[in-house]
Amino acid sequence: MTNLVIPMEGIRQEHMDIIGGKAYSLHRLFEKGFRVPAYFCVTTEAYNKFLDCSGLKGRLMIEFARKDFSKMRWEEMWDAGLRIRNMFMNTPIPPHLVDTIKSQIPRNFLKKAVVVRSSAPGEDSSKTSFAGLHESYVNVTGIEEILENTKLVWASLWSDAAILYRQELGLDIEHSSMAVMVQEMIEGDVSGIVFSTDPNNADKLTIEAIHGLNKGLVEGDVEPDRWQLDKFSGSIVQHLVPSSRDRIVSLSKKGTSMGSIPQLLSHKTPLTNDEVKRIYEIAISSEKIFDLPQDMEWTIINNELYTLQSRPITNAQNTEKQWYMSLKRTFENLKQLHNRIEQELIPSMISEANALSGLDLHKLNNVELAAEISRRQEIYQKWDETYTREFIPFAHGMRLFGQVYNDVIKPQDPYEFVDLLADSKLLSVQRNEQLRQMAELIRNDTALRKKVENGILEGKFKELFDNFMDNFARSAYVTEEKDIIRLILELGFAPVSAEENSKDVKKMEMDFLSNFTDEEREWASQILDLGRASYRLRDDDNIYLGRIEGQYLSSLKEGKLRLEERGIRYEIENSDVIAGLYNDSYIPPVKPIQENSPLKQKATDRQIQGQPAGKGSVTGIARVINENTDLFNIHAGEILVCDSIDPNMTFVIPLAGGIVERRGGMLIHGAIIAREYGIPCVTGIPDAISIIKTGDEVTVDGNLGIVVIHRH
Amino acid sequence: MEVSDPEKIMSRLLTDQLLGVLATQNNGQPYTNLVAFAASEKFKYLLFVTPKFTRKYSNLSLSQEASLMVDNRSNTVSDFKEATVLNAMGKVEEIDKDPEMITLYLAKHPYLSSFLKNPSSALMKFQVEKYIVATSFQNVVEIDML
Repeated sequence: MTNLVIPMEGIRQEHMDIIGGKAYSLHRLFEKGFRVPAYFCVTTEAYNKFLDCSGLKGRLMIEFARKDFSKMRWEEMWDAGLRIRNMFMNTPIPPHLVDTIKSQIPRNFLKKAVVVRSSAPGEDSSKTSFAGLHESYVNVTGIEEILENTKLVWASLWSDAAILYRQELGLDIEHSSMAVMVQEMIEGDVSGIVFSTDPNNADKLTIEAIHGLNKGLVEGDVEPDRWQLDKFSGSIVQHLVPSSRDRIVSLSKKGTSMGSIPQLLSHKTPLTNDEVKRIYEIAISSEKIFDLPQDMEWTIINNELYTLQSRPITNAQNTEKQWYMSLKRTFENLKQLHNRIEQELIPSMISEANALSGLDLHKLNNVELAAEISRRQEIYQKWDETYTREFIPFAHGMRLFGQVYNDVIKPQDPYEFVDLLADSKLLSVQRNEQLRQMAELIRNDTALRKKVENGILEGKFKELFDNFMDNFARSAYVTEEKDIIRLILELGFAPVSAEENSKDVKKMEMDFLSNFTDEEREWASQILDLGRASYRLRDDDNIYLGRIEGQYLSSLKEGKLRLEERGIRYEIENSDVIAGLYNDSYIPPVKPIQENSPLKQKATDRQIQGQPAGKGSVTGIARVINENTDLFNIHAGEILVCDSIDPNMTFVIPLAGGIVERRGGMLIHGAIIAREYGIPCVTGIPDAISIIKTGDEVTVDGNLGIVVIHRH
Repeated sequence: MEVSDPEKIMSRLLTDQLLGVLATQNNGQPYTNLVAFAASEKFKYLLFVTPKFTRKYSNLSLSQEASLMVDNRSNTVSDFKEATVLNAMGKVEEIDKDPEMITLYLAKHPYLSSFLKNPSSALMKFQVEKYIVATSFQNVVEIDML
């Protein structure tokens, strides 16, 4: 039998594939005389045995069968990663396997603090570098903790970023495995990284250094001192001092914590010139050993320089992937982002929307209107880009909280944490509450209903209606008052009550916080607050953006109306609306009619698997949303089938009996609002709106993530 | 291989194989699909799980009569000689998800725990009246379970 654990001195070349790239690289440096922390490796054999013995392999296969990873959006990858991590956490290592691993772990590691690091086969090879994809856990003590953290490292093989990367490299997803390197914890005085060849200048070598542990540097929370050296002579070309050396990462009772740096250190450069020289030398040696530029982590304690890891430098080229990777933010980064969003961006969006709505478009002449449309388009584009750059990454706050919650509570349902977030008042829910109030008035007063049906609005109803239109009703989805009236009339027929979150949120919160020590509780509480803000803003930011988009679309609509008066009643591009307003004689081109003759298809879908996103199951008639106006035709109890639910369209959700959405994920708007109202919801069904037809009878099973189309 | 002992073939197939082909019918129209089954200790009954909105569930609600085929095909020509096939015949009913039945089912399919516990999934008990064992393409033996 292959060893499940191999001690440092037992490692041979033939073990490379079962101890992984990171461990093997470090071992090569050790053999070449580098000072490295003592370590042992838990081999891929242990990972494979765990999967086989625990039944987890079958569960992973079922998870992989749900949807091809290559067809998933990033939200769906988050979810898959979360579900898989939860499976690992809730699956104990079988006792006989625990006993075997325990018996093979070198005894001198049982009491000392260690770092538990990922070391995947293929990782850090000449062709692939998984830098930062897999997890490492610092300051772990005792056999039980080592095993628990080993399991978390195994699970990180299936983090969303790791899945994405494997898929991109064409590596075999289903048969990937993971080794773990357990390293003696070195609490360095100064730590950092060195690029043996600067990725931007092959003649240079770059060193970054901070006081304390290098976690803060690796995660981007602590700004380092940076040296650039001439690669060939080793002479220092430049030393860049950070704007401030105000923070330091040090060991805490469990793991690490970030705090203010002692004043003495904040004025002290982390490295002497002699130390810079020593780091330069190990980097050059490492590059020679591996024959590739190296990205090394090092630390210095009591004047001893340790190499913690060394891996080849690879340059990421894929910008979409880079953006995706940038979504994963640290707690510190998210806190800063939160402040910026709440204190700068949203107030700025609101005042921008208010300023736009204050302008009477009817008073503008055609040239002024054209200029106004262009201006509004630019404003909308600016905010849309801000949304991608700043608002979407903030959604990681929910995810970060979810991970912390799942780590401490280990719930069976990996989305239990959402109940704790749902306590916050979403703007869309407040908006729907106003609709409900108007529907209530109509339901109880037949005379009022008749008046509203005839377009006569008065009294309390009018007051509520005007307030609603002012606050919520200008967006890409709502441009006509009559649509809203029709919706209220439908709500008036069908009493729909928003399902109160039946969970005892206060108790859940206390249970969550009680898992932390007194010192940690403040941090846990902040993580919860961050998760709540992220959950709320994930919806609200769209509504604010929708208001700005609505103002842009109103101006466009006004422009189209004026062109219609000139006889231009056909579909034209937005740029042609502007051109037509600037120039009275401009005739916009007619768009060529798209040939639309789909092949006759005999195969029809009957049952489709997606992602479970809102619990419960329901059978009802489908209402497929192809155009925005289709939204207003929905009848109570119908199954809303759409491409994706925008927070600006969630006012129809209280009428829906179930939701089917092409876009996937548990933390997307459709899933969040479905959960808020207790509506069965399945997401991530490609082509949902073309497979399902309005009028089909469908069953939505939000528990299993399945949709059945009944054709009688 | 115990090709000559039908009871051993039955035991091996019901123990080793994970999936079987379940046949139900609706108004004379047969309908088959794969199910993940588990067998009781003496093979008197078989368990499987199905979502309640499936065609097999609605067929079984109308008629309990069903059969289940389990085999060990390898999809090579050698199957004509080597493959063994077991056909269970009997009646199927939905049962409560009591701990004993859950344990029995999950002992064979631990990865289907969420699927089994799901409120919209039904646990079905296939009470076997007769097994039919076929070997070497055309040798057929019946095992009465009543």
